[in-house]
Amino acid sequence: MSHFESPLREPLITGNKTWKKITDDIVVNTTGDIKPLWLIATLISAAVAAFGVFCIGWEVCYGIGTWGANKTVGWAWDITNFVWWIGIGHAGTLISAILLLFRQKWRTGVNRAAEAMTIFAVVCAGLFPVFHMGRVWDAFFIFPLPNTRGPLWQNFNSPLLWDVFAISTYFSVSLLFWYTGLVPDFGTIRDQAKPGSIRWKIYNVLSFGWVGEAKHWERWESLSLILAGLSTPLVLSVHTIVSFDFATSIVPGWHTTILPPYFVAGAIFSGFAMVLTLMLVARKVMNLEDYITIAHVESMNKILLLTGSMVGTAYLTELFVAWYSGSMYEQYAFANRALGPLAWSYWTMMFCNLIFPQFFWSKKLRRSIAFTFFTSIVVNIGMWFERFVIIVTSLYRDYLPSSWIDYRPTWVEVGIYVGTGGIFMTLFLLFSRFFPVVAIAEVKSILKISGDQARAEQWDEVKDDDVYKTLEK
Amino acid sequence: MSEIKYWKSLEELNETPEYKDKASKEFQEEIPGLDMFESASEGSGTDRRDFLKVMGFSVSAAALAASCKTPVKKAVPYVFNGNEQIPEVVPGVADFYATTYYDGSSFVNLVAKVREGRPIKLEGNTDAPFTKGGTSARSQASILSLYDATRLKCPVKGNKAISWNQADKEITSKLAEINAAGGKIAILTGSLGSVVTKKAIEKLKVKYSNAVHVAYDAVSQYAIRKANTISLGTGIIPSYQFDKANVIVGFNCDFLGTWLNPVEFAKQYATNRVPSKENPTMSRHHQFQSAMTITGASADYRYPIKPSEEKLALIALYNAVAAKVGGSVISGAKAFANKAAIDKVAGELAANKGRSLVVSGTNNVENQLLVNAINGLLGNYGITITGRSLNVKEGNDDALATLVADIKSGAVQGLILLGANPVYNTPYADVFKSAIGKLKLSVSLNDRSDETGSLAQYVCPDNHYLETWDLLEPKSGYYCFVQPTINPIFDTRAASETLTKWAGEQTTAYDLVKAESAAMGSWENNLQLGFVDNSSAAGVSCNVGASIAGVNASAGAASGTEVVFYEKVAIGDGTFANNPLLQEMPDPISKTTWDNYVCVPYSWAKEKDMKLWLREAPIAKVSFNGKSVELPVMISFGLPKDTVAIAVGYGRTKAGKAGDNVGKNVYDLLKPGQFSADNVKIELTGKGYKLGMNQQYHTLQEDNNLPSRPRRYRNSIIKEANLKQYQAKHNAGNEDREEIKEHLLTLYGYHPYQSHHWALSVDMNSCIGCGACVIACNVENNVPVVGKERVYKGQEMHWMRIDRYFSGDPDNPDVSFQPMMCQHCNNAPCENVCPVNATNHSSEGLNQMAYNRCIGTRYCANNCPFKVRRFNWLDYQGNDSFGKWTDATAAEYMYEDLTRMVLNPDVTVRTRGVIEKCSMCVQRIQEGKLTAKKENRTLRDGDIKTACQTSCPTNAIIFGDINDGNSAVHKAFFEEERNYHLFEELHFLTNVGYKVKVRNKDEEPALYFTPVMKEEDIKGIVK
Repeated sequence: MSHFESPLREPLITGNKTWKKITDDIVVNTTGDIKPLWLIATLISAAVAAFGVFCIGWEVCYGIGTWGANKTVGWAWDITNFVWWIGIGHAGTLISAILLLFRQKWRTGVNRAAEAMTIFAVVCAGLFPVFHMGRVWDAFFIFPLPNTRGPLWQNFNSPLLWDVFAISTYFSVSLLFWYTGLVPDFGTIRDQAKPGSIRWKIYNVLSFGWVGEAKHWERWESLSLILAGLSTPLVLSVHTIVSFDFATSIVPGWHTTILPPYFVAGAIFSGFAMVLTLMLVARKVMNLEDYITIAHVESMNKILLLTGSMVGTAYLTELFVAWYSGSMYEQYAFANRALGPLAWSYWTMMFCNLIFPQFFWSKKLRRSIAFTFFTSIVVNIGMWFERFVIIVTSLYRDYLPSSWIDYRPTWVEVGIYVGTGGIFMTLFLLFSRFFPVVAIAEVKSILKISGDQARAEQWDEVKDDDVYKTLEK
Repeated sequence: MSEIKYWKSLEELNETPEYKDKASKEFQEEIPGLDMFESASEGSGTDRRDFLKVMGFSVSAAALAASCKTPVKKAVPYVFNGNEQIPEVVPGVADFYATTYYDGSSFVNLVAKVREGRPIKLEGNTDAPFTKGGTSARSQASILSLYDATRLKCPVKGNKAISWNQADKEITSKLAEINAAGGKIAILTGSLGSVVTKKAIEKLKVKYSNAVHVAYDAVSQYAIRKANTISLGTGIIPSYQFDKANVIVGFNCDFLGTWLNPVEFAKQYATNRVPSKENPTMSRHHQFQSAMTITGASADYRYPIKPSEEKLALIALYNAVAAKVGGSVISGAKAFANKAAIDKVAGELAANKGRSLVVSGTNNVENQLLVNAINGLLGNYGITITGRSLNVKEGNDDALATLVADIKSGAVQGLILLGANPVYNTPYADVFKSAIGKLKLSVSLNDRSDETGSLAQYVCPDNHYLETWDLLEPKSGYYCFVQPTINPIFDTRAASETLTKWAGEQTTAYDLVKAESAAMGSWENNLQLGFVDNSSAAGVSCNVGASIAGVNASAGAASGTEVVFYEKVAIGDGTFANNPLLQEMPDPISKTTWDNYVCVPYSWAKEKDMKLWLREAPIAKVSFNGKSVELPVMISFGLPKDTVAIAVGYGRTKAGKAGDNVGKNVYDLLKPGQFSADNVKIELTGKGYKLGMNQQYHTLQEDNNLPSRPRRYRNSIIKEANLKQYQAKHNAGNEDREEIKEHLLTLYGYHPYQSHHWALSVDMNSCIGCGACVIACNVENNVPVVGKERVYKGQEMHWMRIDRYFSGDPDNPDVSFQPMMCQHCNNAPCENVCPVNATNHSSEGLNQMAYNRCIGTRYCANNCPFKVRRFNWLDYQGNDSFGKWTDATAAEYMYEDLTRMVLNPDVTVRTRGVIEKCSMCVQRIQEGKLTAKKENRTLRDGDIKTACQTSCPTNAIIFGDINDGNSAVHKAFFEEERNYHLFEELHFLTNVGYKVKVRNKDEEPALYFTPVMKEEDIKGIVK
């Protein structure tokens, strides 16, 4: 029997749920009065987002000179934030695609929110490459459109162009995948509404008239699988291509072949940290503890530990290779990162990403909500600094010492970054209010296998088994 | 089993041809217009594809027609005079007019490039016998002063505009009135140089018997004239021949940057400073100095001395030379500390009798007498010093002091100022400030209402030299023409004309010049050439005995910390402070723009545990002569212990938008005629100050707490050797290049260059770091000025810069200058990474920018190992579509319509948000190619010269085609063993080559650069 699961596994749904109860638990968050806490949070986020938009407007009106970037440090917070946001998005794709293919059932509890996070993070990320352009009004030049500007085409050697394709593909596939998953759940929400009401009509449209026929489910399953198949390489390719921006250049500290795997691991690392940050809040506020259990948290913490260690290994490998390469520029770049004027950022990165996640070797800490929340924040900070270290501390002292310089951000740069945080949170809060935060249909699909009642049945089933007998003691 | 066939009609059952035909169609009923969609091959003409094409075209045409306005502007045929076009003006073709720049201290023979009636660029006049086509930063920048909107637009009385007639009438009547009453009329001028203006003053003196003419220089060299009266019997400044000297000894004398006529001296100096295979020799240059200058930086040996030690050093040197060549000895002086230096220098001088030159730039008669005596003993007069007078620095400190006394006593009733701004640039500021209002008449003829003019009753503005007629005599018998290149932009009038009118003669400057030059041969030829050289080589001999008799060996002791005042190469005495190009030109040594500061020695900073700065400096209060000034502190490597230096020429208050309140004025702190002081107190105030520096790191060895880079790292940037090494092996310092070349390989192939392959060769031996090329590049290529705030942020726009590196002992370092521009790599890192192909490689080896294509990702700038790519951070050109950023007032100078007239129409003005960089003056390349094509010939080497190349006073830069085996640059690249390329081992294949710097030192170059930076100093603020 393929559906047998060891009763030793922790149940992924607790609270003795029924299918009806699951529907009610999740749909209730989209109905009823608006909670003041939600409203306040949304208004604050929207205000921050508006400030970010203002800062972007300021920059477009006056020029990139309103930033602290300079002749030597051409990219600073802009691309740092871009890479950071893109990295954050990766957790969603990993959960929805790779974990689906690997049949990790615990993904069902968090995949919806993680995918939403992916979409919103990519939206935020996309702002930076667009608005870091000196002439944003000519941004369409990067698309290979037929044009009247002579036989003028894009430079297909440029990693920045690869980025355009990578990010836009990533965004469209992620959006499709996310929405596909939402369709049956929209149907569920519609069915909870009064037929013919406005709410019913809206969710009916959103669900594309889903009625839950067997054919619908079959097609839905196939599409999910196909999209999972499409997304899987994207998890690896997107950040690989983002890393090419650096890896294919000649700047010491950028020009390293380790960057692609290092970036992918870092992306998943930061993505899971962000998922944790959001879900730990959401499960509390929206009473989803039964669906996002400690088991979920622990699973994600294990991934944090794994990817954090991968990233850390990459850091150490870089140092070793810099020394071993015999390239004096490379050696200098890394010595400068670790000991130069911006060494504090390097050591922040090392501490947050390499050292701090190692606490998760302890099961107790892995299962501590408070500690997990704190770590997720630390990792988010650390991963931001990783990108800052890669970008700024490589650029500000490269080949010619005459052009070495320091870099300080301005309020405009900081404002845009904070603003994207606002945009992200606003979108996420709207999502949490109007969309099912947990994938209802998918959670239901594991209720009979991984729910707590199922575990009880499974114990029943194996109670005569010698192995389990000993274990039970 | 047969299939059951269902049928709908008889036709279907019988499968008639009509039915078959119908069934094959999508629409079985006839649809009107459907034939359009039918295949063209069936003969009906239009098919579906054509339809889509037509539709696509119509829709886009309609959209275009509806959305894009194509404004029709009325085009007026250019420059028609009646029916006839002015013959010499062809639209799009530049005219060139010979003219002369003279700023009281230096002169440069120039050719003004005029496009469509507006001068846009100044080039050196290569025919000129003294400056030989060289230029200076100041003369290059002077083109912008022509379009300075701060200049007065007409004569003013008080603040009110008046007509010239009214001004003339009122002023002449007042002059007559004062003269009749027996009051003195003082005509206070700077160094004039102008024959016609001097004549006009003479006429004025004749007309008004009580008129006196007093000339003064803000930075005076009167002591030379005074000493020469004693030594030579004539109070002239002689001509110097640095090219004839094998040993040059300078004492606080910045003859390559600011002293007398630096362009002429640099030309001479450079002839002996480049060793070649044929002639592997160099002159030996010793420099005794306090503040590090570009002259000190170029010297082979530099000895830091306090200002008061100069006299001791001179006496010691005199005695040492006298001991070797015979002569009376001066006794009674304190011993000079660095005896080894004196022995070495004296030995070399004595060995080069008659082939040496000692100069001092200190305004101290005794020092100048000693210099004369040394030169006299060595027999240098007549060889390296000739009797032809150099008519610059004509000021007379004594006369100025007398005038001030007369003003105080009330004897002077009328004051006419011309090129004089005593309220700003003399120590007598207070006297002038309080007296000027009480005078019966005060008139300024300066071009703006400056610090003094704004207090005067009248300002009758002079023309800019590019819009006036004038005749200069910068050397005796050497007449230089100044001819207008444009009609006066404002209602201004040449000073010579104004003064002549006030003397009662109705005339014009043109007539004055014409009359004056009547005896000089063909007027037109003279104007075309720009000068007449009626050589009058006067003999000169030095009376050594009289010279040393005037020296009181024991006098002149100083105590405590001393301060020395110096001029910066760009700003000079401050007259041109409102020229943003000059303000933004980094000081060659400190690399700081837009400010003056107090330079302190490294030892002082260490003692005070002062943090070395990056961008911010602590502010110190500097007190001397009973006064004090607060200035940011700059560590100046090479200053002697207990000595500080401050630049004059800053702190203008009425210069204009760009020049006002930049730095601090120290003229009013000086003692008359003395450019140093002792008993200086410096206290750090604890405040910090932002400095606009465009190079923040000083050495190639960067941090104490980082591992040293091996020599090969330094070698990838600066290569140097000493002369002996060079003589032994012509590739000295460049030995690793052979190995690097062997290792160059690629999988990808190289760009083919079938016709031209442009390249630039820079000789680091010739380069003196004067910065003329930087300004020339700015003007030629419409490079915007960004203002101090932006330089501070590292967002300056200069396409060309001169990197400065220190090496060796931080108390007295060696300095290397490296002009840096786009290297036009043949394997360019920037080209790969541009997503939109905005930067790409030309078939002639240029790395070119398509500004219109650039979207400003700055990826190319990041990937440029030389960091020469510049991004338009803000709108510097006054584009209407953009918000105006206001934190950089100077950056707005191009917002003025008037100032925009200086723009070179051959070079695109870049919009906000695009990357720009050195194009190797591609517009000049194009022009040269077109000219050759029109003349139906191949290009010749030298047809095309870049702006930096033509401006260079030392010919350090050669441009040309390396595919042409006979070109100078080909020879420099392939035959000159000193040639190397930056980071050659990284395979950028640059088209710019550098030549190993050879110093005429006995010691080998330092293997490692001494660390002087500390890391925690990032904040640069005092603890």
